Amino acid sequence: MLDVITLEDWQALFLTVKLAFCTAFLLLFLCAPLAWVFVVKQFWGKNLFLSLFNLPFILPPTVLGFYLLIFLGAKGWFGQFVQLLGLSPLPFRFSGLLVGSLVYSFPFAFQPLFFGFLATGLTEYKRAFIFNANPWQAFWAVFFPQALPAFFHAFLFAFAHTLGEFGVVLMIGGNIPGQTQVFSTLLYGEVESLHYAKANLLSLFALGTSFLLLLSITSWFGHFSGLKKQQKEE
Amino acid sequence: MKIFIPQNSFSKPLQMDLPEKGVVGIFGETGVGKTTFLKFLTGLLKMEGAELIFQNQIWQRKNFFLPPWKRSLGYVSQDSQVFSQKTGQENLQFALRYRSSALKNSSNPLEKIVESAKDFRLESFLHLKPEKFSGGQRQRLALAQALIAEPKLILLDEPMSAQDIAEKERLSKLCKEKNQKMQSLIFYVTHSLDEFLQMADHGLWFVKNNPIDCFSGPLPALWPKMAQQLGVLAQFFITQVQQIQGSQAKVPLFGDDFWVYAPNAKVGKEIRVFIEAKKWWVGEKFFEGGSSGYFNAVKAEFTGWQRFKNELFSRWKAKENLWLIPMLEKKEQEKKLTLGEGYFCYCSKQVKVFV
Repeated sequence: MLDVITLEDWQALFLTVKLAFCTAFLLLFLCAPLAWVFVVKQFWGKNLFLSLFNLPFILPPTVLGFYLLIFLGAKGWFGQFVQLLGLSPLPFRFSGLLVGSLVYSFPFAFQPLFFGFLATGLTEYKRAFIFNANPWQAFWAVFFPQALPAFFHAFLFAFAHTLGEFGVVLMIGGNIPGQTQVFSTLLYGEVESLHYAKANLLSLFALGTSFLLLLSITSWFGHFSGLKKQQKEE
Repeated sequence: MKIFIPQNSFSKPLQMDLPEKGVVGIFGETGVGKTTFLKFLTGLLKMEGAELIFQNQIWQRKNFFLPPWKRSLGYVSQDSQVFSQKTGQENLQFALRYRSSALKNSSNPLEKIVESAKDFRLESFLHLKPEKFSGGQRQRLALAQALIAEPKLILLDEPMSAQDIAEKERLSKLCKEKNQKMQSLIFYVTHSLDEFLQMADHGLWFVKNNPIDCFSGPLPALWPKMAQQLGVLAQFFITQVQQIQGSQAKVPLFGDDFWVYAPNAKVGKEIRVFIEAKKWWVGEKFFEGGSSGYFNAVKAEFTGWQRFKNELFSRWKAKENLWLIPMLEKKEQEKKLTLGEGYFCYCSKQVKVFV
């Protein structure tokens, strides 16, 4: 039964995981400082930015993909800029997929970090000042260990969400096997070609791994957040 | 320490000239801004236009603001916060980690931690995280953390509220001793008049007059004003022990010898005596409570009560100590007090001694 799985399929699977990992990893570095600024600083237009950040939550991924394609493409503003630097435009390449995923999964990393930081609070961080730790030292010695679960949370959510990406990937990446074909677009192709048995196999696999991933996140976070302990005490 | 706080929506402009070392007791009812004042001293709360000069170092003035991490501070907050992710030992280590001056003075920080753990009775749970601590234990950890790095300014916001009486006594003595050795200044916030009178050398009394008012001064000088406003018929003295006989100590009061029960006193050491009126009799009637007892006694009084009141109260206001001195001179527990023609009032006193 497994002999229907081709090298291309494995490539798509590998590419999906690679994309998810790179996206989640980069988003962590992008969102953590941003979330920190949004928690610590008060400035005009904060809500405006927060709403903007959350747009990918509700926007159809194809809309997002379409605008990214226009923006990043050879005739787009950013595409032209890239070409000026002597580079080729991003769409239909892995880097294009990555940029699309970064935008698409942005709120899934930002929100856990932002609310995680808010829930952690700045009390202990500020208390560290009393003991002559400057803000940088206070962040790493006190706040970071406190807010560590938020970092894991953000990483796993961004990772899991990128795994299931479809609209943006299709729009910006095309469906080029070995280059931009990911799991979801592969499956779509199989269904279009009426290969239902193989589509079923792939879907079952995706369903199983997604469930296992979520299960591990949930049980792990139950442990992390002290949920288990709380329940025990009750 | 020189402090100026400009006029704001809560208080009038406040100008304070406080000592550079010793213990400044802060007393006042809830909501008068005691904790806010401490936060202002730490720098965690920035007050625009305020001035703060401590031990000849400018902490805040005009456009200059020394951030909290450059000040030499110890702080026990009201809920005795400690770092929740660190064990007891790590909490103490953290207090020493970024403070260069403390490390210079002691060759081995571990020794300091061991000593501090012993002083504050933390040895057996140093390896645990604060969530496993009881309220009193956490409070002692916070206190140890505030003092371990020998800061110059120590802010204690009801730091012993969760301790039993014996432990409170021991800890307040310990804090005073350490403070004297370190030559630092303690701000000690409390609701308890006893604690205030026991700890403070200098008083800072916040009054909710809307706007909030603040009185400051050495404790013996500040006390009469406080007693009058609080409506406590009581006297307070700081004096020295002259002689010990068993558990009694002889102190000079009212130009006479005065024997008080003070089992821990030592000759030549400072002693604090607080004498409060407790029970009143008017004729056959009995009233309890310091000043309220007095006023009830007066109210229940016979025809000439206005005269009774005027006589007693005006003399007391004039600090003539009319109602206490005759009693104390005779060293009696109860003494008949003569008030004008034919009116009698009896009063019993309660003496508290802080060594």
